[in-house]
Amino acid sequence: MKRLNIMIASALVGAAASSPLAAQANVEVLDEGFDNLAGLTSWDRINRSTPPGLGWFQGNTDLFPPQSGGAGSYAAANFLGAANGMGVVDNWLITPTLPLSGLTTLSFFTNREAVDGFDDLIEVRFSAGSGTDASSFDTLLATIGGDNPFPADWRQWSADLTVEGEGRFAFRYLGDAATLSYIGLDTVRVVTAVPEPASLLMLAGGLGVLGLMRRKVGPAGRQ
Amino acid sequence: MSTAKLPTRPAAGTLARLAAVAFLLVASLGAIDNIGAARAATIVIVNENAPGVGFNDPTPADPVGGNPGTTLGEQRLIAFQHAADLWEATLDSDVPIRIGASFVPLSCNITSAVLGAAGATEAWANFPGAPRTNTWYPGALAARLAGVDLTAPEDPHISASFNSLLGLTPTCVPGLTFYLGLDNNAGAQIDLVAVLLHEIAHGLGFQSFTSGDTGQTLLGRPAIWDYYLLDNRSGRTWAQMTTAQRAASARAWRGLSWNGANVTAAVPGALGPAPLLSISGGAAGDAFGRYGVGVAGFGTPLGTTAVRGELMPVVDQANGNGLACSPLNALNALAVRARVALVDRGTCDYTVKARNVQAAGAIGMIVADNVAGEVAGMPGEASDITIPSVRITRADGQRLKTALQARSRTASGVMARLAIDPERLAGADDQRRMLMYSPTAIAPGSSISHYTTEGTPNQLMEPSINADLTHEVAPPRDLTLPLLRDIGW
Repeated sequence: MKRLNIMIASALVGAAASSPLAAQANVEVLDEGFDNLAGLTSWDRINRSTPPGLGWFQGNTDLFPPQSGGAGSYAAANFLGAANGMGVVDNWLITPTLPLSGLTTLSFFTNREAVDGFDDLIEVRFSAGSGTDASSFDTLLATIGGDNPFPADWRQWSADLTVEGEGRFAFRYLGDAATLSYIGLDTVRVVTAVPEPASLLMLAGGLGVLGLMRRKVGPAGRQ
Repeated sequence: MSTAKLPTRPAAGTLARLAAVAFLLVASLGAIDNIGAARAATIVIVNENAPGVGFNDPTPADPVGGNPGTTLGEQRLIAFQHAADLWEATLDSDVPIRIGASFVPLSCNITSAVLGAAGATEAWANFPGAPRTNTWYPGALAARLAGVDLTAPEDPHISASFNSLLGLTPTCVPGLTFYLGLDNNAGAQIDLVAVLLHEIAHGLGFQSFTSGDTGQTLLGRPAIWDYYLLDNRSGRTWAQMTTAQRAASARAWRGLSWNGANVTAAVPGALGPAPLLSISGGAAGDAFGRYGVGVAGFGTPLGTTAVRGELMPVVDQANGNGLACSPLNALNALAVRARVALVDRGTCDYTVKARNVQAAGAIGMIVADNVAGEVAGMPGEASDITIPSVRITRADGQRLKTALQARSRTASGVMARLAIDPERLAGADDQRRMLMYSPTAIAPGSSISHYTTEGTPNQLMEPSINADLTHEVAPPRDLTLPLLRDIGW
């Protein structure tokens, strides 16, 4: 287990950390395997690239198979996020608005094409509320790639945070198109704690990133 | 007996290396005399150029390729006589065939030109000896069938014009000149004898008198051509169809065949197996399937052993196109190495593109057209190019590019297979009948009156003159004579 980029977003960590976890019930509010990306009407795909090109698309099994599920059942993004692969990619995939309550865990798998010479990069961000404005995703939960090599196999990542109310997570593929190739995202899950009545007061009032990004070696190929 | 006189102005086509046919309209009457026995034809060239120009151009010229003329005009005329001699030895007719000919400025620009235009000057119907009643025949053929000249002695049966500017002015394909030799060794030039053979064939009757654009027959009567021009989807000939049906049929790519016994019998010996591009792979999506392609005059010909590889595009233009007119950059080279490269037509010769993708390690090249239309071949000669190349339509190119969007830098999941199709002949329909040229957008002077551009090897009566043509007009190499036989020669 390795620690990745962590951002503490609010001062409520202490309160959340002191909440009695035993008093919570975990509820899975999102479990998406991207069997049909186009059919995910409650997700948003927003391409803020310059110039905008191809948005997130259904995975291409011939490049690598999904982490789980049928052929092509993962979300993918590539250097063509900027039109014709010329420009700056800033390509967003945003979860539905989720009801979050207390200690919340986001987990997902990533992969990339195993070819040297490219610097694929994903940011994982959180925004309170239901909006999709980029500026509202001001909580950077993790950066995959960049200073740390982007693993070229399916790896699982997770982040814990404490949040009360609605919120959305965003996967942002970005960088100079000339430095990018192709990445995949699969099995995005969000589990949130529904606190017992006694702990509600302690958690109320906002957001706190409690935990940390961690990565685990995931099962290769299909499960 | 009735006639229609056909004007002699050239068609306004602008296809590269186009040899177009011009015809149509204006009625006149002719007369009939006696009928004689058939013998080898005689062709009389009527030089219609004024002194000092065209066939009379006094510009000094060195003898070339067996053409001993010492002026440009002399060499043009000698080449013409050579082509006429070849047709004379091929045809039978008691009536000398007069060809009014001239070298004149024809349509051209810096990249393409009309090479020549020709057609019958008169059409005849209901003359003595006519095999079909109420059916138009070109004047030279009508005279042959009647055994007597129907055309006034002072008039030519055929009118032909050739581009006097080709390669000789900065605005008319500079550098691409007619090769005036007689030895079929034109190299990168345009073989004039081949052009002459082509245009003479039009005048002999390798032409439609019925409008492809409107479907209207000449003065309400079908031509002999219309009895053999077959809509291969409905099974009807043009003689059996309505005006509207003919107009639609003229625009049906691969929808028109020649249903004449002589041509059909010669097709299997004249045409090679059809080239084929097959697209497959998990990411092919809507691009999955078989594609008609044009073949290249350079590189390794397609064979029964397929060249198969992942398809990857070259992208070197801001609009997403890949011209490959210069050595590939690192990203494009990485993309096409050991794969089949998809590039776009334009800006430079096909051989330049092939050389650049080959140098980057590509195992094959597919060129997507840059203008709408149907498949055509890729001329060029380059002994250093060893990979196979094919050309596809712009629409098919777009389908492939769409399928290639979900790619990485080195993989697409779209597989391309280049081979020949042993079940089909290149340029024939599924019934092994020769296909006619019927692009979806009417090409004035070219549609309907030529064989398809998909013939392999290239045929003399395709709309463009190709480098692999010989001076043969008969099987097994060429299908021009069988068609003339079908209509009555």
